[in-house]
Amino acid sequence: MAKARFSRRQLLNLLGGTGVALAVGRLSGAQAQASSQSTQPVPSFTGPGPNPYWNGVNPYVTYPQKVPLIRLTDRPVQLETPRQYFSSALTPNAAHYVRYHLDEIPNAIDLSTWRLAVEGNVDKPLRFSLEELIANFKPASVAAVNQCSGNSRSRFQPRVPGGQWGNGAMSNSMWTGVRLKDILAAAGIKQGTVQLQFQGLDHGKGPEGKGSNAFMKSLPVTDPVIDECILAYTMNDEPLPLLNGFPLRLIVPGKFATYWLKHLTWIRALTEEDKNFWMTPAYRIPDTARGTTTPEDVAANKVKTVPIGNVNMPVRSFIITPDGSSKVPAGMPVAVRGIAFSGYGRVAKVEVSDNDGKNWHLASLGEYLGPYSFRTWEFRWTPKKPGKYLLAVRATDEKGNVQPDEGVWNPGGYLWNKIERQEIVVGNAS
Amino acid sequence: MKKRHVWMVLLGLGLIALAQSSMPGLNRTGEYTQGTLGSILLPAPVSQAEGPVYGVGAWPLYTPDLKEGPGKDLVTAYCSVCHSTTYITMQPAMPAAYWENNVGRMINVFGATIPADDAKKIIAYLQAHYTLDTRKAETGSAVASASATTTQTPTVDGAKVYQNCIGCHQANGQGVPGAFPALAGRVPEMLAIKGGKDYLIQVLLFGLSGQISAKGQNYNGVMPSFGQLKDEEIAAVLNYVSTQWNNSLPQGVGAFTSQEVKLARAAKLSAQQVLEARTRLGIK
Repeated sequence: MAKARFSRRQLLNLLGGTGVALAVGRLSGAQAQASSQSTQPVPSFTGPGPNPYWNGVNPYVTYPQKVPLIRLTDRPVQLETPRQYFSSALTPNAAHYVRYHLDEIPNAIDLSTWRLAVEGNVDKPLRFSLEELIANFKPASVAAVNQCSGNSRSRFQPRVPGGQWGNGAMSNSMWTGVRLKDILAAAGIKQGTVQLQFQGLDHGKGPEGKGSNAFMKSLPVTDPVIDECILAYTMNDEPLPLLNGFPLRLIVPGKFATYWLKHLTWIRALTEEDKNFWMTPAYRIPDTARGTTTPEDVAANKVKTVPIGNVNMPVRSFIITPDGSSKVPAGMPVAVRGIAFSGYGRVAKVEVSDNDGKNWHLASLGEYLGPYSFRTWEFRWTPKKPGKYLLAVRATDEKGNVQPDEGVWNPGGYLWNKIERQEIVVGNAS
Repeated sequence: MKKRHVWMVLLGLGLIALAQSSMPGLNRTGEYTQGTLGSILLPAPVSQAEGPVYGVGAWPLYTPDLKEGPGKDLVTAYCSVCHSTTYITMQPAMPAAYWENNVGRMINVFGATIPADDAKKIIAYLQAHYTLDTRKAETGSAVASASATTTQTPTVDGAKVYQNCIGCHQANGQGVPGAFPALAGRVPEMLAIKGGKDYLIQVLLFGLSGQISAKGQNYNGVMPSFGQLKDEEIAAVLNYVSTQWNNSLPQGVGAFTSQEVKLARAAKLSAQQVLEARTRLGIK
């Protein structure tokens, strides 16, 4: 870890980074979010330093079935959820972030002809209408965080290309649908199956056989997560918005969203490992602790990689309010509120610091919706003296994983879970 | 008695004046500034058809203009086959080598068919405008204003633009039988055909000439090109004729956007080619 930090510093210096750049790096994400009180928009891009804002720097736009979200890209569609929508454990569907890889995104789906197909190395290939999925299988529910592998990619130093998300490429919903294992049992997975491949109706204009043509992801048939997967037909007890995968979405609790196929239409039992672009080279992480490496090691071809599905989402926590858009009068008791989650299970502890992480205080935890859900937390804070305070939050999950105060670096921009900060200005109360 | 009342009124007025001249703590007040009206419009409710089809309209595009410079057209043309140029403007300030690698990746990994000469020009353009060194001068407002133009379509009055059309198609959209085809009752039929929307944009941009038949009537005239109108104006007038005289956009067909018009301009068709497009689509 110490080596990695040294390398990052070296690289920053090479890029012309000075003490200023390092200071910005330390405060990354601590600035106020874009606020309606400002008459100036955020800059149109950030770099070479980290993006200092909570969300990415992009304009608000409207899309069907959505509140105004933050436009990363418009074709294919990638939309980030603004910070304010994380004040509750369950994200409203209309605010749930959107991330597509390819630009042929369904505008309309005809349920009289749509069928979920289970095929490949199975005893009995099957096709199900949505009606059959709803009526013939016992529904199951799970509250689970859908988080893009590249959430917070704009924090990376040095910066890496890809979707320049702030923290808003995540959302949490109560997903209800059919258990994947029930569907697999109905079809009968035959001996010799190594992976299950999933594909939805979204596709691209590139040539067949290329990643620009089809988006497909596969999970090992032996992965314990298969038993927890749900084919969701409702999201917070409503139909899924088209941009979030209507009519059916694969929910893989604890894993990154790249496996959560939207408009799920094909499940294939494979007898050989899936080598399509989206399994390799895409969405792979260094096979190291925390998936971190250095640009030098990547350049020297020293890094062995594994699919990001080999790990669960690391523990994270976020300060949602106060967001820095208001000063706090000294002596006033205020609530510091936010969310925490971990792909490894229940959030066991959330701690808050008001002095940049020197001292930590226990926050109280909100309602428990299940191990893979956002969990809200709250900390009563009474700043005594005027001045600038650096609030920080860190979560610990039931497996004992604690958020570190160091970022990660890998070429894909994945797995960010550094402790988050928020600067708050406290003023005189008289 | 009377005198006392007068005193009380005067005292009261005095207190109000006093309060106005000293409002404790008031530091700044009554300041307003121009906000960005219309950059996000409140979408109207939509009506849903019964039946098994679940859908929404077209996905809106919010693509800011790329920076001006040689190679911009090539970048727009080749890159936009698979994705919009927000994939370029979104990136952080990257070193110049990134663009060379990435254009290579588009060709070799994703199968983009870009001739080597054009690829060189594309790389040169991206390196000239979207790197650590070349992005410094860019500010948020530049992008804000660029993205605002693509959402301004609704502020152009389609009815006013339609004044260009009434000589032939008439104010009531009925046209002149045998001379100029009707638009009333006709535009939605064309929009319902796959490719019909693009065709209508082409007719406005490039005109149409030759023998056609519409609703059983034969016409042999010329529709002039209106390519001199702005993208926003063409989108506005197409939206106007799509929603006037009991016309409406068919289910699943989104409103015309200036971005669509802008993209269609690149084709530079002749009026004869538009006629061929019409024949291919089977419009009668």
